[in-house]
Amino acid sequence: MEVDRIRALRGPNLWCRHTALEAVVTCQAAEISIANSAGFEDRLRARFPEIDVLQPTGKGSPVSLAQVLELATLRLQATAGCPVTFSRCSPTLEPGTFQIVVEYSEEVVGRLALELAQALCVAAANDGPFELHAALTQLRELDEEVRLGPSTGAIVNAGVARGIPYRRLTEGSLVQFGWGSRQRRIQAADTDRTSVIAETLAQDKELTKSILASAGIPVPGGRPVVSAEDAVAAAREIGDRVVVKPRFGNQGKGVTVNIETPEQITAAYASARERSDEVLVERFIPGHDYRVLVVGNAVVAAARREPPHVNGDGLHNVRELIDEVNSDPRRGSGHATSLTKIKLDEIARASLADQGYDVDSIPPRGARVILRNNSNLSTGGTATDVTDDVHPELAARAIEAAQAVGLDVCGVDVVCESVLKPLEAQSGGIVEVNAAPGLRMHLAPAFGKSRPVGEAIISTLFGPGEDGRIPVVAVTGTNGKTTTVRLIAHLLTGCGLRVGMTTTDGVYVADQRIDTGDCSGPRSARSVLSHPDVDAAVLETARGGLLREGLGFDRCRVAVVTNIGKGDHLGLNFITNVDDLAVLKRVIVQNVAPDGYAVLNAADSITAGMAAGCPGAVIFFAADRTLPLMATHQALGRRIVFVENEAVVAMEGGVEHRLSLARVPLTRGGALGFQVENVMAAVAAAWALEIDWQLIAAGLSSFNSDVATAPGRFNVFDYRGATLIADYGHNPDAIGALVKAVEALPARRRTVVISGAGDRRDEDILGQSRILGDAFDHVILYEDQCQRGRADGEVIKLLRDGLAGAKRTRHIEEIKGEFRAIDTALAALKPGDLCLILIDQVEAALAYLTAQVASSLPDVTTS
Amino acid sequence: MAKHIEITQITPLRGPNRWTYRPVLEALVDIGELEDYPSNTLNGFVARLSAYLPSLSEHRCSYGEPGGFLRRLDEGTWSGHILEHVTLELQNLAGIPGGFGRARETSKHAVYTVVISAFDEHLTEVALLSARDLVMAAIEDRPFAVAAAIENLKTRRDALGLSPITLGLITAAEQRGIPCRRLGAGELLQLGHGANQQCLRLTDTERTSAIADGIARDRELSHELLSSCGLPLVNFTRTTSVDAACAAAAEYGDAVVMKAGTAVPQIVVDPRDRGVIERVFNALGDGETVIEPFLAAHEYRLLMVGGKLIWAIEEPRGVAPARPRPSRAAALDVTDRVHPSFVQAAALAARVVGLNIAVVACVAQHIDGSITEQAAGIIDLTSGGSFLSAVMPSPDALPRICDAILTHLFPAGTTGRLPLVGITGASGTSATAALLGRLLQLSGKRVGRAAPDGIYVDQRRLPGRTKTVWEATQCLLANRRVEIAVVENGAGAIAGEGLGYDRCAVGVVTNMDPNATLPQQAIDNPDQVYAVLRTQVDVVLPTGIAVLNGVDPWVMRMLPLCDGEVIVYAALGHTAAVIEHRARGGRAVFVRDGRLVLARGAEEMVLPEFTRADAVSDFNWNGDVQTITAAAAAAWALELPPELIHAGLETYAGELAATR
Repeated sequence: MEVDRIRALRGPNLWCRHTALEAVVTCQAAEISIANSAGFEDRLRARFPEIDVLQPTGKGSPVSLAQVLELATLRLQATAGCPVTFSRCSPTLEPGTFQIVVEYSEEVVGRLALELAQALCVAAANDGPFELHAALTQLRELDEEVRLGPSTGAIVNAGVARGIPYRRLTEGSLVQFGWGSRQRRIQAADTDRTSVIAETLAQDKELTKSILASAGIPVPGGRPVVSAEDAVAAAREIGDRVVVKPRFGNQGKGVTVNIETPEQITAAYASARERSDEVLVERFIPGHDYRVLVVGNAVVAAARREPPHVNGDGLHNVRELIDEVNSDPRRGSGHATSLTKIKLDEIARASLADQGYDVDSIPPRGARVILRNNSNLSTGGTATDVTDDVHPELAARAIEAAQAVGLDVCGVDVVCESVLKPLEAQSGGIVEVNAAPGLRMHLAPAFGKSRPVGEAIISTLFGPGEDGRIPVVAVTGTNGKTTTVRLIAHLLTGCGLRVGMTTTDGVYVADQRIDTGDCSGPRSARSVLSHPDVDAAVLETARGGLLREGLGFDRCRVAVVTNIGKGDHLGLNFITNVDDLAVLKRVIVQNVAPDGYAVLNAADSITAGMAAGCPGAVIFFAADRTLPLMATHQALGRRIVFVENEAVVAMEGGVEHRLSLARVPLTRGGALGFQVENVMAAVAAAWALEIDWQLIAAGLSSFNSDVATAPGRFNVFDYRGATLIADYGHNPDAIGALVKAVEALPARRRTVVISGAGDRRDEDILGQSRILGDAFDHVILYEDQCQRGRADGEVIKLLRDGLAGAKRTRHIEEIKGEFRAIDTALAALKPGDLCLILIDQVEAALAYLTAQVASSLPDVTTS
Repeated sequence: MAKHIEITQITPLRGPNRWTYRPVLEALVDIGELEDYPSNTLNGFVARLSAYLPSLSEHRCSYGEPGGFLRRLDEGTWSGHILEHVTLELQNLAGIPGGFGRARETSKHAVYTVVISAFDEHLTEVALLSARDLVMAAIEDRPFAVAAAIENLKTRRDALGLSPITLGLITAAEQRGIPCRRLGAGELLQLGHGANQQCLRLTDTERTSAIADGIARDRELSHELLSSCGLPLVNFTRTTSVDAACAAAAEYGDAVVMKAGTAVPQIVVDPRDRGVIERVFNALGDGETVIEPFLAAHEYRLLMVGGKLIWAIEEPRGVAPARPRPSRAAALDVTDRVHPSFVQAAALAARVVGLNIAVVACVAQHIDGSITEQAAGIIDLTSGGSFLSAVMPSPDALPRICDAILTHLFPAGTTGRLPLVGITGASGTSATAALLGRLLQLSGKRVGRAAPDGIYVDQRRLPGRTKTVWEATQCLLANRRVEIAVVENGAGAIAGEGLGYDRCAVGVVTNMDPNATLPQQAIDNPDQVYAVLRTQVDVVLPTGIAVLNGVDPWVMRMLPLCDGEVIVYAALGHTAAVIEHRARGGRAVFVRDGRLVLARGAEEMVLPEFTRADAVSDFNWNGDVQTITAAAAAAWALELPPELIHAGLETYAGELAATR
């Protein structure tokens, strides 16, 4: 068995809406059915008992090793705790070759699972060893490392539940929500509104305290001291029991609490002084540690925190008691799980010693043994939810504390006896405010309810009803995609939006090209959707990227399929016929938002058939409104777009809007049928976005399609009185449309210059010249720059074969090289002639043509 | 008996005071026997003093021209006055801002009040003591180490740790009329008041996203984001060893640039020359050295504030194998030459990362040409603070930068001020402030009030120890919840601390006690008390309003002092001051037939009678009329609708019974 062409499908794809790995698996003859290998299934189950039942995928079809690989890859991930359920194994036309698809939640985990599943298959086949436990541990650890932590994860899940798209910007906790100009970012519980200055303030504990105190928020009074005598004096000023602690320190080292006498204070000063040059004396606040989470101007959660501790049972020693607590599966080694293991380190030992224990002591039943003087979850502490108990006055102080420092998401540390009473009523105080607070204790408290804190943070980023999405129009089809994309983008621009657009020519943002080349894939789509200046996106979605990686977005507002026709590029990547192509292209239709629209060509039966899979509504378009599909759709009160009396008509129920084709230069007054199709598609898309009809009409009349704005898309030139048309059409449908358009233009004599692209099927190349033979008098064949895998002369021969029996063609020439072919055609032109040049090297050929046309013009003398 | 100058008391006046709008140090100086020895009688004194401080010749003093003070010395002036000028000059020579000084006799023989601008009260105290020693040395014909004294002041000035940017921001805020205060000992500034304030430290503002700052620090990540938006970038490789540096340089093929920390970047023409790379690597000496391909001849830094280019400089680069220069040359300002396409690209880069203020580093062949038509690229971007501290902007660039930052935070026409009412007077101020607080609360805004018994926000008294009025005012104006502020200042507070605010929207003076004295400040006659109380009227903004008691002749003297409008209040409409003020078209508030009248010139708006039984019964027009008219006038000044004024008075006037 060989596994190759492993691809990560990072968005909705041919197979599913999930992220998934796709691989091509080639099985040896014996591996096509595992029934051939006696005892294989038993050996497999012995090594991995959790694997699914090996059920054949079709009636009578055997279970292949490829299918075992698929099921093992899925189940390994699932057993390691990944939330994945989807997998498929699909035979290809080549016997023994399968495509397998397995969902993943983390790409690297999926890839590792695929490797481990291969090892499992090999082990089962050869009766070799397979360490299931080690494999699962490896997967689990990798998953814990790469997946979002619980705090960030909670916010992301809350966003997903609201339909907000997100993207991780790093392997860490930096996440971008929303698209284009509506995007927002978070990093753990920090938002992009959390300011540098607020974080700086929160980090400076002394400054924070003075800000809080001056805002009238109870804080433990006190001050830095310079000597033991000064410490005693400070305690006298406070006039209460005090805490003596190093100014800079952590985890409770060198801290002495709840003391009063000068002797105690002097000793405490000495102990603190060992840790830090600066020592603080503060009022001792009796009570518990609470964490109050403030988001925006509300308290959304509160928890009482307990330091790590064990309860004696009179039987086990401290070490055993800790081990027992740590065996709780919720306790992990870092921040990835809801609790953290208790560490038995120096601090814990010191803490034990203070209580008269060591690790081998057996505390009596009921004894509470504290393992460090710090309630942080990350040191093994636990939390109890007390959100519903917080007194409104106490909540008000916590909110004021967050606002005084300027933190929009803030963990406020409160020490008091009870949150049921105001701080002022119990001499409680706020001891610290924290930026980017951990959310674990509120999401999964050891005791009490979980609180929707992710939801609260998301609502500070996105107001009610907002989902961070910009209008996205995805466009696909065999022909007319680029013009339709450009026209839709133009109509959106007319609404005052800054439009991002991906096409096969490049990526454009607000009319500026920011990338060149074929940019119809998911990477370019993602670029546009993450650009801060984009208010709306129109994305040409070609097959290549869709096959390679899936869509670059989770769903679109409008999906436009111009046509499928006879298809293009068939035979590549297991897309062997038009039906396969339709399955691929309908992916954008399947991923229309429920309140969005699919715009489908009703005259193209394959395209029209995609309507069934659309979660949103459908707008059909076709020149002929009497097509049964159009008539039915209209009768049902749904939206249709058609042509009538030289106008494009949009009709819904009894209401219609007319756009005269005379005012759409792109269509040459309606003469260019294929452009009329593009206009209908674009109008339908604009309608789906509820663009004002006057703006649509204005946009259609101001749309330009010339060499500069739409290179290679029906560019018309005048050459010595003859009409010259340059186009980059390379499939039978495109050429059919061009021929129709050309036939609508009067001409004395018609010439066509054509080459054939080598990566098309023979029948498609033949088909091209067959159409031309009936429409042109003079055909000039030239050899393409890149023959894409074919021998010299092979394509030309096919084109020539297609011209056999031509009704109109009288003259055929074969020329080597594109420019020479153009020269030959131009030389033969007379006024009133028409010449269609099917260019190959778009930019170079157009530049050459433009130069030739310019030099044919009479010299203009400037005076 | 030996001659001496004794400084018996030093009082910092931290806000507007009877002397000036700015903070000053007020000292009581006892010159004892020197009272009998003006300067011209001390043999050789003037010459010695001039020798110590030749620049005293610039002081104009009362003659209003350079040399004026020397003339006074020659004619004979007293040591308190001399001490003032010498202190100012020491501050001046040490580069400490502020040139205000006064010396005035008190009613006590040989005791003077000397007042000096205090940019920082501790610095000025040191300057004052040094000046005293200097003057005494000149009197006693002893040597005095002038240079050492100035150096001492300079050292202390530098120890304040204020960078030129921070000082520039303070100056720019003052020019824009934005209240500005240092928070704590560092460079943290509070601009504006209460809910309208903005804190900043250098270029770190409340709008500077911490996440964006983190992205900018991560050059790999920011490159990824920038490149996806189509911005041209300069590649880089981090290296920590000579071998890695050589490998990276060789990889780039052509010339490379080597960088580390803040050292001047070095161009290495031949990346295969291991010797040169090793030498540069070691000379940069930072451990981590970044290697970039040499894309274009010049390197620039563009300071972007809120999407606009504010300052651009060319960054010096060295060419190895010359020794890397340890320090930077003066930055070459290229702001006017930057092509719009570079500005656009830098603005987009800042937006992509999410920074409101950013320094975009880039390379270009010609910064005045289009970015797309040449070899050019962005190196990285930072949030700006460290850059601005490392590169000292030129004296003409600094104000532009500071002004741009302030305009970004406070768009033109805004100053971050709150509607602030200051109330002073001999009596009735507490009741007026409390009632006004009640009335203003009805506007729906959150009212904060600083009073001698504490700070109130939303009628809740904030816990905490009792503060001085000045301290309480600072707390109030730093409180982000406060949307309208009311501050009650006694004469003692203004005289002994200065006002807690620089300007106010409404200044109320209830009355003046001409017999009052403030022995602590050596104030013992009515003119001095008047000078103290008028401060409250002096600080009313040109757009503001003074609310003055029309019955008190001393208060009425303050009427012409106000930069803004005046509302006169009185119990009776036929009070002379009310009639006169209305004749000029002015506004007045008074009571007629048990009803409050709001008058503007000849127009009158008569509020309804009180109907609530408790209001009618508890209300004592005779006792409370001053308070009610003052509070109503101040509320009217802040445009509280008359129906709310009426409703508020009816509801809360009863509370006055408790304050009587």
